[in-house]
Amino acid sequence: MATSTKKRALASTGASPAQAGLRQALNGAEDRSQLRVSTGTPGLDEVIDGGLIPQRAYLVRGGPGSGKTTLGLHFLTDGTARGEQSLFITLGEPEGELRANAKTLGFDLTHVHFLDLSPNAAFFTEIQTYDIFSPAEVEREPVTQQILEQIERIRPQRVFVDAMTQFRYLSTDAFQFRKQVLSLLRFLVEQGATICFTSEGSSSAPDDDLQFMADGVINLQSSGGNRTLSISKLRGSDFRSGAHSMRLTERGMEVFPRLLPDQHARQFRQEILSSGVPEIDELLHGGLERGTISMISGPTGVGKTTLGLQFMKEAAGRGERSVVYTFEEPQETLLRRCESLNIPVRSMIERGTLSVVPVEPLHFTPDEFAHIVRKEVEEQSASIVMIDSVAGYRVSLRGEEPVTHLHALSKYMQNMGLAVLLINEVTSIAGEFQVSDIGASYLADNIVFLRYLELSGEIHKVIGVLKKRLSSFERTLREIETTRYGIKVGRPLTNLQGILAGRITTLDKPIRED
Amino acid sequence: MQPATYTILLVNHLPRNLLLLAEYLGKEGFSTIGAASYDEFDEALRQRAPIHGALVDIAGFDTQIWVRCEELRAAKIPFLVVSPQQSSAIQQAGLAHGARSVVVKPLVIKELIGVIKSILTE
Repeated sequence: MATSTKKRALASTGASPAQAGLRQALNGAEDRSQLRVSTGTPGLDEVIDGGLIPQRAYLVRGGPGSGKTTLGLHFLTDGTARGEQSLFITLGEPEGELRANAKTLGFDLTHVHFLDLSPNAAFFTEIQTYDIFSPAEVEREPVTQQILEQIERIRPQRVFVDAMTQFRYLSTDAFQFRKQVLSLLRFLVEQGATICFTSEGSSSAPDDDLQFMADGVINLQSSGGNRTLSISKLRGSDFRSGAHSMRLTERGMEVFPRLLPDQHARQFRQEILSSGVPEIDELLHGGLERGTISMISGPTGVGKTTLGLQFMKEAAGRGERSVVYTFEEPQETLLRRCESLNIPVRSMIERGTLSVVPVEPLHFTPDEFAHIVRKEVEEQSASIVMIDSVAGYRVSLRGEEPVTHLHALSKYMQNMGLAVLLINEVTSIAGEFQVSDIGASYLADNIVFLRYLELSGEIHKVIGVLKKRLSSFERTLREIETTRYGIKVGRPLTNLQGILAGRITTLDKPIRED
Repeated sequence: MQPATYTILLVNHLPRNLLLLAEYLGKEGFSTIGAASYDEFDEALRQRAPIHGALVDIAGFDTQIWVRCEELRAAKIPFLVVSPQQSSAIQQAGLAHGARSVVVKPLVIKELIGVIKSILTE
């Protein structure tokens, strides 16, 4: 929209050559965004900058069961849904099987044309078997003829060839194969088609030559139960590098683009979110700011989640929506516990100001989880998100470098103006103070910590603030208690010392009174 | 040479091989007779129509095939033996039983046509 406004502005004035250049660039940018062919695969267009550049050939490569054909079905049916002609050239799986499998995934192939070049059963029964000439001598001509006839008859805008590597057996040598594939692709492009073709590449039969020939290469990988998609080449277009999580479901393929925080931002009010507990607000000099990442750190059972939910309770009073992603505690336990502490979570959920989302262990990859959070942020306008906990996130999500992904997710939410609460459990109950066991404290703009301390044989809890990037904060510790009336925080503990070191001594005279 | 006047006996146990050979040789103007078994071979030799050459694929046949090769030699029909693999034993046996040459599968169509034409004009 901004581009159109700029264009109109330039058009209405006597533009200089430099402005004309800019206009051309703007036109180009707009044209590019319009001239993309959707892959029809949820999430994939985002990875490849909006879609495929039309009338080009793209290689989809991956091992058996990696989803190559499924991607092709998305590509073709997206075309037919737009009234385009789509053609599936199959050299392996017969048309009947493909149609049956596609139906189970919910694809409507009614308007997809098929050219079935797969071997039929007669081949096995020797009627069709031959060995006098090489397949290259015998099959090439009829296959080429069939393709020519179908293309000229259908004039497809989209063609999917599965698998192009089969043509290797119709070529006498590598040079002939390369020439044959290139000429086929050129022919299809000249007829106005955008082509996706697959390869059955392996270490014993590499497909490097096809990668060189293609305008783009989409790699589908699967290892250790994790499926990923990556782009290794895309002529004339930008793309998101790296491995993106991908899932094959009963509805086909879904890609979860790796979250790049700097590509997301929105305007938000620079304001402080009160906790609703005056003493906590005093500790934080007002509360937690929107667009910041706060870590609430402490040992088990000290009240970290409750403290986070206290901010959410206050936000709910203003009609704002909060979301808790709980990795450890069952939802019902969390709700009961909160109700016993005077946090009306059930009515908050009913009013839509709170959502408690249990995250099943080892079910999602970090990219998939980020996709869930993005939907919540962008579609449900959540203003506070709590990850409970960092350690749970780390062990529950599949894949590598979980802290890096958490960093990206937190930064994304920060850019979108959310208050992010990261619940961080430390293993030591008492003793030497530690903010985080997993080195994630660098993520936080604010660090609030909770500690146990033992006084006269009785366990007490204290709260303090260690870091606050956007404002000053109270340097003293205060006692905190969770009661059935809610969170109660006492006056600053100025008559104790050595709490953080775990060696508490009482001072006869308070150091300072606030 | 006018290939239309030449008839080639094709001995091959695979029907598709016979069809392909008939198709490609037909395109070059040869007429062909196919034989997928010894009976069909014997029948072809008994018929009155002249056979100008033969292409004998030994794959799928037993050692009796060499007897049939001798029959072709006795009938002065020039022939090629087609071998499924490069083998000096088959090479020697083929030539010993009268073959003009032993060619190895898979054949290249253009080369095959060239060899057939050359043995027919010798």
